[in-house]
Amino acid sequence: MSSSDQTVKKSYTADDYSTENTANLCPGCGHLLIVRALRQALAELQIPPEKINLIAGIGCSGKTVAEINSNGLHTLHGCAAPVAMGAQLANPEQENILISGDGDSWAIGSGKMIALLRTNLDLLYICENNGTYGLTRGQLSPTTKMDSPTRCGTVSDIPPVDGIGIALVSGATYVARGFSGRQKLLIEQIKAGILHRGLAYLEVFSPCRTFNDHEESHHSYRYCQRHATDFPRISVVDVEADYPTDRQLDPEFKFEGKKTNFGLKFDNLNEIPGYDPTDRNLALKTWEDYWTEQVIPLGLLYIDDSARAHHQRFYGESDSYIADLRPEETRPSQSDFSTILEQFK
Amino acid sequence: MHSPTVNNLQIEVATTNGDYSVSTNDTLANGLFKMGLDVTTRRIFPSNIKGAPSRYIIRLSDCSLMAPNNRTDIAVLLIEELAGEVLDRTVSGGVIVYDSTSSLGEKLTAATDGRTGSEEFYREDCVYYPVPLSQLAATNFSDSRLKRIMRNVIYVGVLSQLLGIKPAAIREVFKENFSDKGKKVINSNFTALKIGRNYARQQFAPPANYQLKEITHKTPRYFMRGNDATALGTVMGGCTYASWYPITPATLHGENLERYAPRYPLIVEQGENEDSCLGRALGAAWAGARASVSTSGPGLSNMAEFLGFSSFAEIPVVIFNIQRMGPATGLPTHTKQGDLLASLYLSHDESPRIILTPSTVEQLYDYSWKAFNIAARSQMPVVILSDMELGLSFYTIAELNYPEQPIDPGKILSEEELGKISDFERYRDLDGDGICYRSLPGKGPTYVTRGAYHDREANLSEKPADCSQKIERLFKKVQTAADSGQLPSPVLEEPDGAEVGIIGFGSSIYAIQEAVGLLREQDIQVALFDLPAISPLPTAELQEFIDRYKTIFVVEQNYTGQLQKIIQTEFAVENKLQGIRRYDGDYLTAQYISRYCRECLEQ
Ligand SMILES: Cc1ncc(C[n+]2csc(CCOP(=O)(O)OP(=O)(O)O)c2C)c(N)n1
Ligand code: SF4
Ligand SMILES: [Mg+2]
Repeated sequence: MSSSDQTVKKSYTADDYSTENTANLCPGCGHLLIVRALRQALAELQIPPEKINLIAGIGCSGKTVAEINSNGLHTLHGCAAPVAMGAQLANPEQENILISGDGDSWAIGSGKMIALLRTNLDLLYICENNGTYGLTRGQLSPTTKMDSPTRCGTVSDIPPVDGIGIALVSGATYVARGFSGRQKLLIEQIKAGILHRGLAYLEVFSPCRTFNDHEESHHSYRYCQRHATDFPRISVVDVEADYPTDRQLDPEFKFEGKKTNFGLKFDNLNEIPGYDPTDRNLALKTWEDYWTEQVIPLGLLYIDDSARAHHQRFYGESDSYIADLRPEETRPSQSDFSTILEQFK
Repeated sequence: MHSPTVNNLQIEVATTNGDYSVSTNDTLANGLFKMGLDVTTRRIFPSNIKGAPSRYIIRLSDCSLMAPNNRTDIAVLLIEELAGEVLDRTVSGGVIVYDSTSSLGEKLTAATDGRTGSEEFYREDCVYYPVPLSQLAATNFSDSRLKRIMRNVIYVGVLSQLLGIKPAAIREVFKENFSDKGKKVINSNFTALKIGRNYARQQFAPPANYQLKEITHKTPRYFMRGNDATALGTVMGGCTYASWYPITPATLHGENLERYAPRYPLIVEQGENEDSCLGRALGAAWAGARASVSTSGPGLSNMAEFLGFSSFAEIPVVIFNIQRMGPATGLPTHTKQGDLLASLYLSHDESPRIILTPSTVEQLYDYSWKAFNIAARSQMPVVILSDMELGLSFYTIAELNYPEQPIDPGKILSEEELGKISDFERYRDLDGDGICYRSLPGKGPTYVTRGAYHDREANLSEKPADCSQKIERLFKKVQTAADSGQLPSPVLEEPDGAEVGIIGFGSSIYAIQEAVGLLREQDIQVALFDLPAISPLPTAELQEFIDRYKTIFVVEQNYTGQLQKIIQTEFAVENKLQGIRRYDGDYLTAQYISRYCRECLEQ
């Protein structure tokens, strides 16, 4: 347990987000690289560890909650989404980050995922997709590709779930695709996802070294390196910069974030002429083309900073949240009580 | 000539589900309440939106009886399917009001005229009041929906005239109910009421054997349903986050909360399924809210995994279970008390929780607000077991009090307090009562809250000593709660000379109280133990009660005698316990209980 004297510290390094504990993952596991990127991103954003809620599902992915210095909440299989919804609504001041696996998100948690994606809840959702069930030792996952056999030779004969596509149509306002093996981009994607006001869905290709990194796998390091293309590549840039407004011509846009405005630099938008990452239809169409061609685009496909965050439906612009109420403030007064009783007389 | 019974009768309306009569009947009941009478209602309706037979009972009692009676005095017959059974239940000298402009009406008129063919509907010893309800509605109102609604208001007018129900009281309810719908709606209702009253005045002499007399009370009284009381208790318990998923008969509790939400610091959300609702509540509670969920049987089953998580991760939450008839879909609109063991053991392995069993509307309110303090203090789920009968029936109740206990946040350390401690451990049992000090995310040190075994510092642990200590400490908290003085106490009624005792809980208590009176009239004195909780059981009081009486009847609305089983595992009871059970989905009545008691005692 870390003491709270971190609050007096002025600046955080990636090490400040590590713990003395280990999640006991296999060496070379993609999830460990996400842990690394996450720590780095948090350090770059200088978010105090006690301001971070890390809410995890069950799986090798979820286990990494042990390795990140934050307020961790290790929930149930497929159930991190509703827990995060409650936590975020009770205290939107905290940075809520949700860690889940492909099975956790898209098999057992699929109904809850849709419910979450619809809300535009202000949090970063990281789905660590290794195309297998790591923790239960390599069974079919809903994202396993059709011709990719499991440890015991089972091959799925139904098409995989397309998490990005679902996120796009379900209302996520930030949809990005990362890869554990592309750290620099991943750090930027995490940072942008945290800065974004609303639901950021970041699906990270995160190979399972032990059960799904073999020759025929579509979720191996090699497969991903071969099939990945960078699009649209982003980096977070200085928030104070002066931003141009013509998205067709300029690579840097300004976004309204949850706490401050922030800038995103899109390196290579011109690779698809006319691509505008704030245009959802375009994002969907482009994603579909990639999906059919089995190309893995790594970047930020879509972002919309105009939508209201879920907690604003309840709080409006107020920043007095239910978690901050003094005990006596949670109960109606004697006169309120009498007023309520009037209706039953 | 008998003197008329005063303020003591049961009205029963037999009609079709979804014909708008429920709100009219609610209005009638509320009007009677406003006259100062003791009123309770019961709905007997199918799981159907429109068209199936349904009944509505209004019972008036001159001695505050709040259970349904198995005898009806005033029957309003609107459909043929139920005519036979309602007539069977009607007392000699009873009043039968019917729609003479319906096919049933024609048969009843034929029967009363002594024509052959419809004898089954004729009761020589009852008084028949034919009223052309449909025709009166049709000639006075134009719109077809209005015609159907106003037919109901017209029979209320007829009853009002026949029984002496003050029209002003009913008009007041209309005004309250339709204040947002405008004058036109209110006036239509007023008109229909008058049409009914006028017709009855011109055509009939009021029945001589029934009389209603207005009563003025010095202290306030309220007319509410169990689900109104639990929702009010939720708000007064300081609940700040509630999540629910529609399910009969718990929906009303959730909808009530939705109505409170804009006015109080309370967020209410309809979740995507019940386990998500509980998950959301637990996330909110972990972050610092006072949280609750409300559901019924199928939803409770759905919550199983999270219920264990709540207990194990020590995150407080209040779960309202308005029991209905199961298993599976069961009968959603019928009452039962079949979830005692499910509530006690739901979720895999062993996870303690507190389960309260309120019996009256006052208790539903009291236990509900208390539950939030108990959950916060114990860092544990608290289940409130209500049932469909309590939840959806109106009861006349005495004053409800502003909570006498302040809001108890439980052992949460503030940022300042935590600043002074260098060796905070989330799961150290500093006070030796099993309850450890919490910190809230963002307001204290960092650590992982989890559903896996851990050591005192909250780090994952597979060490046998950590595991046994954890589970022992969790169960110790139940005992701590029992000793805390926060839990409601049992309510006992022990008359002199009693040799027999009854233990009951939930909606059964109203029927048991009346049964105790019936037995007293037959010189059988019975003591009553109104059980406030099944976890923890009020051990000392219960043992004393069991020791004191020769025979103990355990009344419950399930087949296997779940409460009896719970008591038998905990106590030395010899062969004293006798189960009185009802599990057919019908309401428990005093007669049902007293008959069984008498038969057993005579053996
Ligand atoms: C209700 C429930 N069912 C099954 C399990 C067993 N289980 C644990 S993790 C897991 C799958 C994990 O796969 P994924 O979400 O892809 O995470 P990964 O381990 O691959 O990171 C399963 C089936 C469980 N913990 N709970
Ligand atoms: S089994 Fe796979 S996913 Fe799990 S830790 Fe090992 S490599 Fe990672
Ligand atoms: Mg996986």
